[in-house]
Amino acid sequence: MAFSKGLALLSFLFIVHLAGIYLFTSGFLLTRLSLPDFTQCQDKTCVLPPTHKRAVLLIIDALRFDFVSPDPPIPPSPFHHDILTLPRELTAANPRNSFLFNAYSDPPTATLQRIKALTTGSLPTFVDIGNNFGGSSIAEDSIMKQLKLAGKRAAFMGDDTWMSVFPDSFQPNMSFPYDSFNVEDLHTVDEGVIKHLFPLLEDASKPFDFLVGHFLGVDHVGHRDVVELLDDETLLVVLGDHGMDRSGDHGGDGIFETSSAMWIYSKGPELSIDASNVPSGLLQYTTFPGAPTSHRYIQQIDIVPTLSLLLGLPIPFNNLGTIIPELFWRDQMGTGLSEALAINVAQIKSYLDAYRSSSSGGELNEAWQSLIAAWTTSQTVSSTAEQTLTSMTNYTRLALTACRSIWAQFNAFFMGLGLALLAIGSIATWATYSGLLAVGDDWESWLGDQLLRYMRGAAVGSVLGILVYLVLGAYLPGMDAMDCILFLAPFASCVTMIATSAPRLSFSMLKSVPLPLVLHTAAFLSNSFTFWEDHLVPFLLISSMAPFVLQGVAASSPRLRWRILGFSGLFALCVRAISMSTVCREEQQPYCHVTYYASLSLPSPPLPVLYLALPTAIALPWAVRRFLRISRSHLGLAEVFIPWILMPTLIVGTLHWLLEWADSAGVSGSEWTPVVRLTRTWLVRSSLLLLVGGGSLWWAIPLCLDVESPSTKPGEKRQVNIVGYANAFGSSYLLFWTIFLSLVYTTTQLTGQLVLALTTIAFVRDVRRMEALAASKPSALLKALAHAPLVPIRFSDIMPVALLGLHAFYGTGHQSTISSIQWKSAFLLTPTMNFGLSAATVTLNSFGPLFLAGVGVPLLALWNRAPKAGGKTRADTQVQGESIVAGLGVMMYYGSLLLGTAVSAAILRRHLMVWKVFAPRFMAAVVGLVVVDVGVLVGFGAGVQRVGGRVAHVCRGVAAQFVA
Amino acid sequence: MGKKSKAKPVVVAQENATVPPDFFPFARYTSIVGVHTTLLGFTTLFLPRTTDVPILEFLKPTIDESQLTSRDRPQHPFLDALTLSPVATLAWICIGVVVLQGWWGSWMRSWSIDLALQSAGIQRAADSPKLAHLGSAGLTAAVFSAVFYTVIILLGAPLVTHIPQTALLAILLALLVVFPPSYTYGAPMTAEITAVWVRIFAEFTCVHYPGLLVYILTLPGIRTPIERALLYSTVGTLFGAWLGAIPIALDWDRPWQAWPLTPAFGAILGYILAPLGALTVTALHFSAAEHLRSLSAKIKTN
Repeated sequence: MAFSKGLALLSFLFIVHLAGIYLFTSGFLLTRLSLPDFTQCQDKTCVLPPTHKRAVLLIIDALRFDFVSPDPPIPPSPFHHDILTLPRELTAANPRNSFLFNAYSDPPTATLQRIKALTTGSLPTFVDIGNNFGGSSIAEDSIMKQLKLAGKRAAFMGDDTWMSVFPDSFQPNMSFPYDSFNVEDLHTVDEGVIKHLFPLLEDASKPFDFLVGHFLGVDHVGHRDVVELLDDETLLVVLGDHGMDRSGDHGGDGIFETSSAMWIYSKGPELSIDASNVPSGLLQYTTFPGAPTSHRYIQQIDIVPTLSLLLGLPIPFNNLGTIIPELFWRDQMGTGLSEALAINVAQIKSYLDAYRSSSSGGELNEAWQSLIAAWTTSQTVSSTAEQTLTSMTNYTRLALTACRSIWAQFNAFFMGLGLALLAIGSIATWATYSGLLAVGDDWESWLGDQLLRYMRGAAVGSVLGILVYLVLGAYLPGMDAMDCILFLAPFASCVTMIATSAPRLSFSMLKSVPLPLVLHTAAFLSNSFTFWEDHLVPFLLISSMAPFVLQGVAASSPRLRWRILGFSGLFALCVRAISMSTVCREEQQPYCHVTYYASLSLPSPPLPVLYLALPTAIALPWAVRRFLRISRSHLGLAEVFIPWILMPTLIVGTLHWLLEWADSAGVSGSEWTPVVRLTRTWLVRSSLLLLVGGGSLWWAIPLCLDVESPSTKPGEKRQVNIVGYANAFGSSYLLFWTIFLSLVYTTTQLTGQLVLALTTIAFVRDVRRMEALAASKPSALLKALAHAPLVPIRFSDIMPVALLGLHAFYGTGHQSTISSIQWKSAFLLTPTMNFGLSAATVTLNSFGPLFLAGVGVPLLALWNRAPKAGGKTRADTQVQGESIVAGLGVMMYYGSLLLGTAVSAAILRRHLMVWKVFAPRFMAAVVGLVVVDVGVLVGFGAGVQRVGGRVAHVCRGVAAQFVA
Repeated sequence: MGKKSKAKPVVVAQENATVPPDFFPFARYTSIVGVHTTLLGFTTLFLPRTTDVPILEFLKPTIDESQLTSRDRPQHPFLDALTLSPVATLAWICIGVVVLQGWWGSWMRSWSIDLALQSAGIQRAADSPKLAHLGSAGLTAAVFSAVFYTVIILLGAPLVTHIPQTALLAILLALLVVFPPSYTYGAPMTAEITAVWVRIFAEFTCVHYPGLLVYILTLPGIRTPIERALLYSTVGTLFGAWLGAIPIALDWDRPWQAWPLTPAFGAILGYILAPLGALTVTALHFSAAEHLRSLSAKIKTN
């Protein structure tokens, strides 16, 4: 694999992509390590005597503080304000029993993250590393876990998100979850909650110790009834999980969205004797926008330590909240408060220590010194009690601030840099693409000059990066010298690319705007289009065939017309057949039926697939051979490769999954399990070995050529025909591609194997369609004589291949969600999880179709291009140039998709669905682009260059014969 | 229309050939287009409101209450009648469109015959038997509805459910797109007529793809105002239906998002807007030709 100019260009763009991805993700993907530890104390040093036996926690979706505030904004809204008046009436009447707060709920103000925060006291991010990946249930310590450890019984009714977070924390006979996805219909959920809430409250045996009710609408809660039914031993907490903005939406970090109401009411014991004596340093106040006076302001997660201690439970291990002082002010000296705060401080200290010593401890580097200092202050004996209380509160608040800055705040600066680099990288790819097309066969010398310029650009950029770091380093948040270079070197280089090779912009270029790509990229701005992308892709794919169909209709001869229409039609049929296989996203329900598996709950292939799997594995090599026979290039290497390498590996791939099915579906009986397990592992291993052998064979003799010499009379010149010469590039490259096809085929489950077979057929039909279209152009021959490339590859030819890859990704049972990862493929090569091998097979299983698109796209430039023997240029110069163009095209397509997803994730980073829809799609686009880039690099570096080199060698040999 | 661009000499010649002959009934054409599009709009919005027609009872399938609308956000009452049953709505529209297209097609046909005869220098005698042409045009539309049905399925319409919906959409498209040209020129069965169809509908491939949007507006391979009207309404209808598929995916939970209302309305909207474009371009050519004629007349008199 010589490191040629073409490979240098492709690798260079790959690096630009990587740099952009790195910069963007380091600003966007907030991660937090969730520790599995939980608070334990045998000696009762971390608990207080309980004030209440039971608690009722009523959560009302989007209950903003002003909805319950005694002083709503002026003018009040008749729909929102002064409606829920009970909390303020009771607070005014019993200031020792009833407390009303404006609580700050951390963004993302989405229900799932809020539920986690309200039970763990932490700051949930999208990627809470460490919990079981994919499922939303949490392994972290929480109030629910502490209740369970204490042997208390919990009841639940309402939004079923709770059940996915805490699948086994609630008593089965007292949990009443309701599907909250169709939030249009608030009534059903709330009527259901009320139906189950009151019987439990009225039950004299008091079957629960903790009750969670999650309502979706404000107006459905009968508070007065709840308060009347409460006994003296039950604490009532009513809170909004988050606020909402003026249009009723939430998810973001606006002041209206983060403001939620919290009302705590104790019907029995007084919680506070004289709250006005609480040291003012411990209390914060804020004024709701438009309200006449200020009110008490707390953090929403403060409810976690408060509730824990009031119920006599330990504070959950990961908690970062501070107890609410008023609720512990039960004597003039504040001893209760002091004890509670000491427990709180000790808990946060042990949490921070544990986090610090974990693998992600480095995140706390910046804040660590000040945290230690604050903790030391809080532990020293101060002259007054007030000072001690203040220093302890300072410590807990400092810990919260430090953690919030690393877990909850996007770094907009890094995101901006990443977006800028991704955007300019896309433009630079397009500029080079256009430049290469314009120079035609002279691309090699042109590219040589260009690469030198890019290199100089990168060098200047690196120097600039160092300078910028030295001068402005202090002002750039969290940037080190490496980041500066990583941004400026590719950036300067891309500027050079655009400046030196971009075609002049003109109005007529509007005509070549690829409409499907523009629509596809823009679609990511909408959550609907993002989660229906598996339907959008075939729609665009079939639409992108429209110009070919028109060209076909207008073709000069009926034979050509039917050929073009036939190939396009078959392609479309395969595409439609692929889209029949799907695993549905949760959001697509109820409009989607799972067909990839037998049913939603049974992850085994549907019955027809079981019958079709083996015939398909046998028929596919046969189809490939037939396809090669058209150009008489089924000879040479193909005669060995197809029956002895391709066919066995495909069949083994199918057998493995059939065995897996027999085992997991219980067909073979459990006594056979070890045997089956061993057999299928070794089947796959041997097939892999065979593929390596096949690859080596291909590398040694890549060409599908055969020599036939008709018998000649003595004295006559000996005549030699090289069979398959006209398609020497294409046939060999197709075999190269099938190596990767078998690899991906083996990692793919049975239904997906059918999809891959259809994808192969569609791909081949598309190549044939292109060939027929090229033949329909009378000017093609004339152009060949001129300087321009024969039939230049156009973006409209590349688009179907790029889209086909993504279509096959969806067809092989994937979605842009973490839960759709097929973990079964992790145990392909080893019976137990092996980090490296499992990661490789899972990646191949998930993104294999995209890889195949990346590797496959040069075939468009190679198929049926007869090498030009003789002449000044090498026989493979033209096809190599066009392969680079094809590779750039598919990189451009996926680069543009990544840009679209990154822009949408950045703009909508506070959107309600960012972590369910936009961020997963962005991550899929990241991996997708990297995989496609690698595919193009492998395809060009190993495939095209090897084939081209060999063909050129043969041509030189032929030319030498002529001379002799 | 200068010959600046080298790449399009053929097209320039064709555009010059589109100078309308003297007799083309421009005023009448305009008024018929106006009436036709107005009636089409009426058919779309008001005909489906017809209720209580006993023979059409079967068009009202059982309505899934859960899919109608959410209790919290009712839709505008005007839309209720249209969205209540998409099958009934589309069936009514198709019935109306059959009548309208028959009427519109007969105008197109008579103009086209006039044009052909005029350019050959013959006065119009008697029209050939209308009914046979009407029948063959209907048959062509029926065949093409099967083609459209296949294409809609290929584009992602449900395979086993919603069959009447998809079929009615295919019929509507065929009525709008295929019926007028096959009534005007005949079914594309013979090589001669096929060549005309290909010339009108597919011969702009000399332009670099994929400027779908642009090249059709600037470079159709058309010669007469009638051909222009046919091409423009075809492009408008198909593009409108294509765009109409897009809002279905949005999670707005609106009754009008039901299949196939948006593609059908998109097609009709495209069909209504397209003649306005065709009319504008034809008017431009017409006045340019008038101007040229008056200039040459002046030169002659001088």
